[in-house]
Formats: sequence, structure tokens, C-alpha cells
Amino acid sequence: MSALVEISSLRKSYWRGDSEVPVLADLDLRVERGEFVALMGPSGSGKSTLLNLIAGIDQPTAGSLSIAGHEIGSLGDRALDSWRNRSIGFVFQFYNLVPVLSAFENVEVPLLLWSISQGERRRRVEAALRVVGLAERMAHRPGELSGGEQQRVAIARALVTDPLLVLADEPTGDLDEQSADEILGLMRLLNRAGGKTFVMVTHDPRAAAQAGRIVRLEKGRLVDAMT
Amino acid sequence: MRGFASATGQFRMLLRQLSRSPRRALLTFLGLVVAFFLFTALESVLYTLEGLLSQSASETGIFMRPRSRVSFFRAELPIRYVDQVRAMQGVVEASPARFHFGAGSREGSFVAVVGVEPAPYLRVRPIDGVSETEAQAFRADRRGALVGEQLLASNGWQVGEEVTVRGRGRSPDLSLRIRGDIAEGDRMGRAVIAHLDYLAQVVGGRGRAAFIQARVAHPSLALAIARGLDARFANFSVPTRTRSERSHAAGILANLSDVLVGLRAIGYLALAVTVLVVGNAVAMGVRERTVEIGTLRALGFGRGRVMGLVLGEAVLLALLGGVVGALGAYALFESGWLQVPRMRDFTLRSDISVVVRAALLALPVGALAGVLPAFTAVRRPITESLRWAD
Repeated sequence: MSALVEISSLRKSYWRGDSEVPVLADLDLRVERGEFVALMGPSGSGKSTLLNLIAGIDQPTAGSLSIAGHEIGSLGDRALDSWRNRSIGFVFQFYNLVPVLSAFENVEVPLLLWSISQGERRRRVEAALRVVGLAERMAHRPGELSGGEQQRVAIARALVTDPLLVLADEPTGDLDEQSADEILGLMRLLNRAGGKTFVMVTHDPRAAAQAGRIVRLEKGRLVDAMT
Repeated sequence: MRGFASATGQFRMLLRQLSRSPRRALLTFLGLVVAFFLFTALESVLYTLEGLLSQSASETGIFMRPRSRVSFFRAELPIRYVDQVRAMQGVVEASPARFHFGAGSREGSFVAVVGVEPAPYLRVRPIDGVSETEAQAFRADRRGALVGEQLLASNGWQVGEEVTVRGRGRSPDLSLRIRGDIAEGDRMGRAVIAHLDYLAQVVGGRGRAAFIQARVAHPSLALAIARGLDARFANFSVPTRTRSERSHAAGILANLSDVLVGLRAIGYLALAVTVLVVGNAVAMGVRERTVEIGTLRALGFGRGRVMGLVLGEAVLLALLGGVVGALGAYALFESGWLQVPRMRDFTLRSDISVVVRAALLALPVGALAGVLPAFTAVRRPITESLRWAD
């Protein structure tokens, strides 16, 4: 069976004036379905860039990146938007919720692009909020929720489309220890019991320890992979 | 139905964005209300003027005045011309007319008296609201007058009553007996029609008229007759200029055109300033929401959809402000409270078509205001938006 994420000879560079600044160099990586992978490395090692490339919100300079058999680089803008909406769930460090929308409405946002009935949308949103334990706080706006609760809303938003892959960028970076543990526990549960595939960028070794595999990056190269 | 559910969800998002910064939204909204109020008010003034003039134009009416007129209201045209006008083939009837201006029963009121030859004048044009009995009484009484309903109401006058139109400056007072009332909708609904010879006897200037009004047998004859009359009087002491009533009304409008263009320009200028105000408010909102916009794009909202949300926000705000401002001006004009100073019987009016035009203009105002912020919102790469720190 093919891997969910297959990356080969991936390169990413930025141009600063006339000089090329390499961020990722000849990177090869496979992520299997149902895996929980933590990407670690010092600042500037290329973790977030790799995550952005997997998410299809950035373009590689060279190499191949396919997800579930789709070569991401070959998709046009519209197809990429639609693919991202259906296949990728995002969890950000600072939650990135819309402050004027309730928890329910925030989770509903990705489904606004779907041609489904209002009832179906409601059913999916409520189910996602139940999974993260926020069924009772659906009507609350982000400002009325704690950091941990806001991140759970963000996880519900990432899950509501039942994506192939959830990408989390420092999901516990803005949380206290207890909330961080709760979020990591939730992600682990979704991975083990729900079979969701996670790729998480983190600086925190405790967070990384929750993953099934840790991939280390340094200066844009894969230096180590531990199970 | 499913697409509709999705659209309502996005519309709800759009509405919520307006509540993000209530003070900014309120101030922008008030700016829009004021601008559209001003625009609709100016358009209503234009509507009133154009309405007054076009209402007074008949297709078979022709209108003769001195070619070198100093003032529209001065009586310079020899009345004897009327007989030759009547004698012209195709002319059904003609009447000389002149003006006299005074005050009614209330201080500051304004009364315009038009002196005519009653019998011919009533044949030149029928007057709305005047019954045959009233017309007969008017014709028979040298001091008789037909008075507009609006004037009757504002001065507390009644048909059958003897009233005085008080002279202004050194003009003498004019005593009249009201023999009938002119319907408000008639073009003379704000005026008094009196006997020309009586008017000339009281205020002086016998044998002269400000203009001669005539009716021709068919609209197609109007132009040829007007030219023929002007040719006939070309070498007389007072050469004439004769036009159809329609072109006469158009001429008055043309004389007013600089004023009208000026008024219209002020209205559009107000809207142009509003484009900048709304554009700035929306741009500020977009800048504050850079990360949020990056998130939406990451979640699959394409460039077009994000632009649509930003544009929709600007258009919605403009539409709300536009409709409220336009309706406010409409309500004020239609209330009848707005009167021209020293002309209490001249009421400014508006029309729902003016409101609709203003409300429709809110759409391009909103779109223009939102286009640059919308473009800015989607131009930035997603990764840059997500890293954005204000």
C-alpha cells in the first residue's frame, strides 16, 4: 500500500536579492496512513516550511510531493483550494479562530464550501464538537473560552471535514502545561482510536513524545528519525 | 437549496464581520447615511424643479416672448400681437399673460398672480379642478380670480371670499374675489389667475404682456407656426421668439443647467468622498484580519471567495447606509416641511424613483470602496498572512 505522504528530493529556496537561500534540501519523507509524526528541529530548520508544503499553501522549488497519490505541485489554484478544504485539517499555534463567530460557526467554516444541507452541516459540526468535548459550549465565542478550549475548537474545525491528514503547527505552543496535555491527549486519541494521520511541528520534546515517530530537521535536511 | 444554505452561512459570516468593530462600523454607517441623505436631497431638489417645468409643458401649446428679453417676468410684448397670433392658420386660440407678485394673508407668504384674458385663456388650456360654473363666474367678474388649492389652504382663503394680494415694495395691493379653485396637480396649482385688464389697471402697464400663450390644432404644427409667427414679427418694434411649450420648458431647464450641474456635482462629490471613507474603514478591517484571511484561504476559501466576502462587506455597509440616508431625505421632502424661504407655497418634493436611484448607487459605491482592500486581502501569500503580526 502506498504511503499517505510521499516526499522525494524536495527542495525549497527563497530568493534574497540575487542570492538563493535554501530552506529545504533534497528531502525524502514518507508518512503512512494512521501515523502520528512529530517534526522537530531548531528555529529556521525548515519544519514550518515543510508543513506548509505538505498543506499545499506553499510551492516547492523542486522535487515531488504527493498526498494520497495526488501530486500537489500539479494542481491548479482552484483545485488546490478545493483539495485542501477536503483533505487537510489545520491546527495552528494561536488557534486562528474567527473572534466574531461562535464555536459552532467557527467549526462550520470549512463546510460553508460544501454543497450539503444545513441539517447535514449541523450534524457534522455538532459531532466534531462532541468529539473534542465542547458540545455544551457551542454558542460561545472564542473570547469566552480558555486557550485549551479554543484549541479544541480549532481541532474540531480540523476534523469536521474528515480530512486525510491533520497538520498541527506548534499546537501546544500557547498553552499551559495542563491544557497542552489535554490537547496532546486528544490528538493521540484521535490518532489511535480514530485512525487520523497527524503531522505535528513542535519544539516541545514532551509534545513530540506523544507522537509515534519523531522526524528531526536541521538546516533543511532530515537528520534523524526515531520511532 | 444546498448552495443556498452555504450562501446563507457565508452571508452570516459577512454580517458578523460588521460587528467586529461596532464603533468603526457605526461611524462609517453614519458617514454613508449623511452622504446619501445629501445626495438624495439634492436629487430631490432637481426632481422638484424638473417636475415643475415639465408638468407645465403641453404638446399643442406654444409660447411667445420678446426676443431680447431683459427679464422673463417683465411685460414688454405688445398685446396687439395677440390678434395676429389668433389669425395665424393652425392657431386655435391665444391669450396674453403677465405676472404680478405679492404676499398673501400671512407674513412672508408668496403669491404669484398671472393676468390673462379669461375666455381665450381657458380655451388655450383647460384648468384642472375648475368647474364650468366657476369658469363662468370667473369670466363674468372683472375682479374675479381662480386660486390654487395650495394657496387657498396656506392663506386660509375660501372660494367666494374677497381677498387682497398685498403688494411688495411700491407695488399696490390687488383686491380679488375668488371664483374657483385650481387643483393642486395643475401647473397653476400654486398660482392665482386674474383678469389681465384689471391687473393692468391696478399695477399699470396697459397694453403689454410678458408672453403670449397659444394652442395649435396639432402638435406637428407647433414648430412651423412658431417660426411663422417669429418671421411675421421680425421687423416689428418688439421682435419675438416663439417656442413650443416643451422646448420652452427645456430652455428654462437649460438656463438653470449650471445650477443643476453644480447641485448634481456636489451630490456625486459627497458619494466620492464616501467611497474613500468606506474604503479606508474596510481596508483597516482587512489589515486587522490578515491572519484570519490567511486561515480562510488555508481552509480552502479561494481568492474569488475571499474577495467576495470583503467586497460583500463594503457593499452591504454602503447599501444599509445608502438606503437609510436616501429614505431619510425622502421622508423629509415628502413630509412637506421643506419650503423655500419667502416662498412658503413652493414645497420641495421627492419621489421613490430618486430613492431607488440613490440606493442603486450604493452598490457601485460599496464595490469601489471594497475593491482595493479585497485585492489586497488576496494578493498576500497564505504563508505570509498566517505569519502576519500587526
